[in-house]
Amino acid sequence: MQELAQQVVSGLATGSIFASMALALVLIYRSMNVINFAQGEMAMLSTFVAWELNQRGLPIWAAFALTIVIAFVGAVALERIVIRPVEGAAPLTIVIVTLGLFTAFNGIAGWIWGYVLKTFPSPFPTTPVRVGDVAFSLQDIGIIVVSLGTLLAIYLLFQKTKLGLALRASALYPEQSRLAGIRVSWMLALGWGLASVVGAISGFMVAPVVFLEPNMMQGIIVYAFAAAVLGGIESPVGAVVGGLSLGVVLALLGAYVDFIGTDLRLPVAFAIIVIVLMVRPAGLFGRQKAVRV
Amino acid sequence: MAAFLDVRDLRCTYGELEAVHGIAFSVERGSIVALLGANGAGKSTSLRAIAGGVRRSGSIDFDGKPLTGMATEEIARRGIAFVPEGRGTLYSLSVRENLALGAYALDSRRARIRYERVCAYFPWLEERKEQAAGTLSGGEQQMLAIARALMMDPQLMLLDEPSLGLAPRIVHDVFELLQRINREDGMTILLAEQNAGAALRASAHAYVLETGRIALGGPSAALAADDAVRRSYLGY
Repeated sequence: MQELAQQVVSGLATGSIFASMALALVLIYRSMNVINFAQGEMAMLSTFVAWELNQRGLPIWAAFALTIVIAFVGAVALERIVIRPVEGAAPLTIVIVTLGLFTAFNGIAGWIWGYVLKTFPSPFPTTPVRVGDVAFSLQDIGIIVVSLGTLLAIYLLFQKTKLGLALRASALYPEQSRLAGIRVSWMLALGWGLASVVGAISGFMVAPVVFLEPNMMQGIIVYAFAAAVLGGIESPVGAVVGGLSLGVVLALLGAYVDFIGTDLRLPVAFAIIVIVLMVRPAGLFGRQKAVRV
Repeated sequence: MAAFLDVRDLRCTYGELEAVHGIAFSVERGSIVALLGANGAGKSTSLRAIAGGVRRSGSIDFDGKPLTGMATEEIARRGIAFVPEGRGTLYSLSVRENLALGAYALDSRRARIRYERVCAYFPWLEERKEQAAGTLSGGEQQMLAIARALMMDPQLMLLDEPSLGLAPRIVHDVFELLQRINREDGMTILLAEQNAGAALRASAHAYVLETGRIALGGPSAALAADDAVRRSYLGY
């Protein structure tokens, strides 16, 4: 019983990291109908920036705060400079550009920081807390609180502010939004900035767990895809629910199903992607779309 | 003195195809003007050329300053509200959000004043503000589209086929409302309409388009009274 509780909490912790990354993917998908394959590498770069700032003497939370600003501005600039010229192009063109960014960022990080694993300081105490008989890792709880806090902030921004309304409208109804005087193209750039920030935070949370290196997000991004597909690639709520449930399911499978262990987690994620796409392509929270031909 | 909206030698092209071949018309401040004609005559294209979003050449001057070369969102911010054909409802958003979006470019104080003004025209909006706009009836969606345009606090309203797909009684309501907005707010209105009868009754001035050219124009009452014009161009 204690072990079940511990597994669920640790599953929720990894799940909330998947959820953040999945939300980053969904934010871009909703506005451009394209998966940003560079999303994970952008998060990895941000995490390296935070690490570098920390190495140079900035306290870890200050490094996070400064990096978030850099991640936001950098992604807005990236959208303006690299994505803007292909904004109206076929989705495949944009996908290829994001794949190009993926390899570019991976190479840049390797070139600057090398491929040797680096330990990333955990922003949370590693001592466990005891609740009755059960010991929970404070790190897990910290990850859950920060990730879900970020997601809540994004939710409030989108649902409760005028800017959020404009962001939603620009994604769903670009033509009508222009007629209302909204600068839709800038809203796209803003969406890139926000997705980058959410991704960066998931990078900060995952780096102490998996070690920092240029390929660190490549596993995470597959789980994030699985979470986004499971929840419905167009649904932000779906991304969060998908991420959390994926985290818990993987933790429980790893702990209680012997032949899966930790080695077969990735194939489970792929299996989820395939099964969801076959059985319910719109995911749990997406609506089936009728396309007029 | 130049007119409030002054369109000269307007040509619009879709790819290789020229849909409007150099037309000229003008709209006086505070008036209702109708563009009439059959399907494909170039009415909608002309309106969309003013609102931006169609490849165009020639000159469009609004309140003494040119609009040519400006993007749709900047034209909207200059005070031109366009209600597109099919009403442009943002289906999945609530009525309140549809209206809030109209006031996007205004500060919150002006937005509140506009909201009160709009609710005076459409009291039912207040009661149904949390309803998804896509669940409104066709007539209600047309009213919401006009309400959203009014939220922008525009100087000029462009309406593309406001009567399309509506029952005759609702068409009557829509035109009556437009006349009321024109009278009470001094709103300048330019509309494209296939329903020539209703449009001529509501407007002060009208132009008849035929295959991308202006066939004739004049005071609406005169056009409506001329039997030959009615038979050959307006078909009623």
